[in-house]
Amino acid sequence: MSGDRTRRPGELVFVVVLVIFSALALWQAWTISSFSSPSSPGVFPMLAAGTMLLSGLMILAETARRNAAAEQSRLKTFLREITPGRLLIFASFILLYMLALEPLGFLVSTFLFLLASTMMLYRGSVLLTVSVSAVSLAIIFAIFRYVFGVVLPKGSLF
Amino acid sequence: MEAVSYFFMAWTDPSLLFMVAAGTFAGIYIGAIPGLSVTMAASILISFTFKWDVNDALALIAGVFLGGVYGGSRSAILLNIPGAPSAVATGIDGYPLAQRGEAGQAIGVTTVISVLGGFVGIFALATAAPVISSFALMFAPRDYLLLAILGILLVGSLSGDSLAKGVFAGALGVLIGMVGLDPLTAEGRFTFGTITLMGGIPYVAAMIGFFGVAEVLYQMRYLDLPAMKQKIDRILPSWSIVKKFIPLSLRTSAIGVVIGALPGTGGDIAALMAYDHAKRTVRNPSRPFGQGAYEGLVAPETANNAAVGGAFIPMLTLGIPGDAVTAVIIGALYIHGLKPGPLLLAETPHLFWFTVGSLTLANIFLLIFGLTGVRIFSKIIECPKGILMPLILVLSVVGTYAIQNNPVDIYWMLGFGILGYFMKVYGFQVAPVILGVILGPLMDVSYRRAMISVRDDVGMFFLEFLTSPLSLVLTLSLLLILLAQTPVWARLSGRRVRAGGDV
Repeated sequence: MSGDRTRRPGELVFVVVLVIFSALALWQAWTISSFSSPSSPGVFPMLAAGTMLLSGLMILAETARRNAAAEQSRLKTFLREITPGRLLIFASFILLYMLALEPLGFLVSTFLFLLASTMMLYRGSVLLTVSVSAVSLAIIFAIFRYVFGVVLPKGSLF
Repeated sequence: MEAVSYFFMAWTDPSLLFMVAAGTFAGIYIGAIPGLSVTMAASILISFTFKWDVNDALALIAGVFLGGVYGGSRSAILLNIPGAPSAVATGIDGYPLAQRGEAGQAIGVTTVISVLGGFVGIFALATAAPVISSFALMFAPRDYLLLAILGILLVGSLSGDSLAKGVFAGALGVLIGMVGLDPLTAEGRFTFGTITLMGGIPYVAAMIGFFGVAEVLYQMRYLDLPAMKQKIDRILPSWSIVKKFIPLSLRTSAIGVVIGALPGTGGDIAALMAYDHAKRTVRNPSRPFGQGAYEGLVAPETANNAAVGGAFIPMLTLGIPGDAVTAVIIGALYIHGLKPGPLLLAETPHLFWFTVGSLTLANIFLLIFGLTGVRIFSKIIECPKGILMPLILVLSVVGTYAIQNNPVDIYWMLGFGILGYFMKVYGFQVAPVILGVILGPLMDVSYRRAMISVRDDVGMFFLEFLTSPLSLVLTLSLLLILLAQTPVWARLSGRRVRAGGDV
């Protein structure tokens, strides 16, 4: 069922990271209560981490067997296919948005985030972008504040 | 008699009636818009509705669930892009029908038979759940452990690149579920001495991260797909056409119920299996399969709606989710202080009959909304993703924050979102992770109870897997699933495994 698709750029590195993570998790699980008894709190975490390590190694073998897609400049293909510029920019917008939530509050930071990302992703006129962001923010705020009664992050500045 | 009054609760209370209607309506559009899935909507919704009365929340989610499973067919027929995973098989024959100018009739037939499938699923839920529930009291802790493993293995083996990847994803979920204080001894596990981790990793943040943020990031790669315009004329199908497909619908609905009721597997797998079944058994399809056969539309669409009722069966009787959406709903019930499990039906029968009633009502609304408003519909699904995706992200942030008002949860959400993105790109499924998160604590406690009941005797523990008849059946099914993945099996049964697993 794995078929004979070629290895995607960065796939091997990802799987290796998963295997290392599983090994660390197994070691951490061992420190909970080692094997003091078969019903101690650490046993099931060890089983879970052990399963991860085992299946991770199988995936690693499976992945290593596949041919890499293109040999020239792996980093470039990784950037193009797996993390295209748009994705990286959008992800950093998300991060900035989360960092801005606490100082700026929900309304201001969300408006800025919607404005910036809609401008980048939709590429409409400025007027359209501003009005779409403002209207959707107003709707979200009204629905969540009044229909769902949800607490929205409050900023320290506003 | 009491059951009847609970059943009709959502029908007679205007606000509940509105919830079901709104949920179904929203669900159709959520399901139809590619990139928005029912699982995503349900995960975000449970965080918004946790302050509500549990009935209101359940009514809304029941509507979204049924509407969303159906809604995916719309974009599959009109755009050849499945709006939801459960509509993957629908486009194979649905899109050729639209190309022939029969989009209206295709949508009409799909609506009617989806509702039919939905009713079969709900009927199965209403009749089978009480039986299974009384039977469930005989389940020993080890049987729960086996059932949970079975669920994760099933979903892992039937979807995604390989079994190993499914197993990894499930085990990762279990590990995430283990973080925090141990429920039996209150010892910290994976807490690294920090207080933040003692409460565990918030599973709503994990759900929204894996299903919301990861999907938004994934959609960044497909922003520029052009929208297709289709002419839609009459959609009310004539009775003679519908009548022709009823025998097939009942067969594929049965497939849907069974697949839905198996722990872990849901509408997406049911639809693919039903399509495969139709392809193998229908002698004279209206047109060859793949070129616009109505049978190819009927089979997956009845099955995925029937799977909704099916998926509720293990959830309401055993506390084991039938698919990813019911895993999320279990999360919602936990938040509302309810414990889905064998006692749920005995202790809170109103909850069960209320759910059945809301699903029935949602199914009726589905028929109404499905056959009307198609014109507005095509406008809405053309909503540009460049505007939609940032909005989904904002909803995810609000939803994650709403549960505990803790900004740290939002970072968890982003972290899981990024991990989920890479997992999707490299052929891992994210559904087993969420099943693992929900089932992990149950598995841990069941395992230890089973071990304690044999006084930590490992040999005895394993022996009981074979001596109790119920455990033996479960153990054998488990081994069968594992065996089915090995090359030995493929050689033994050749073509059949590929037909079943490679769909």
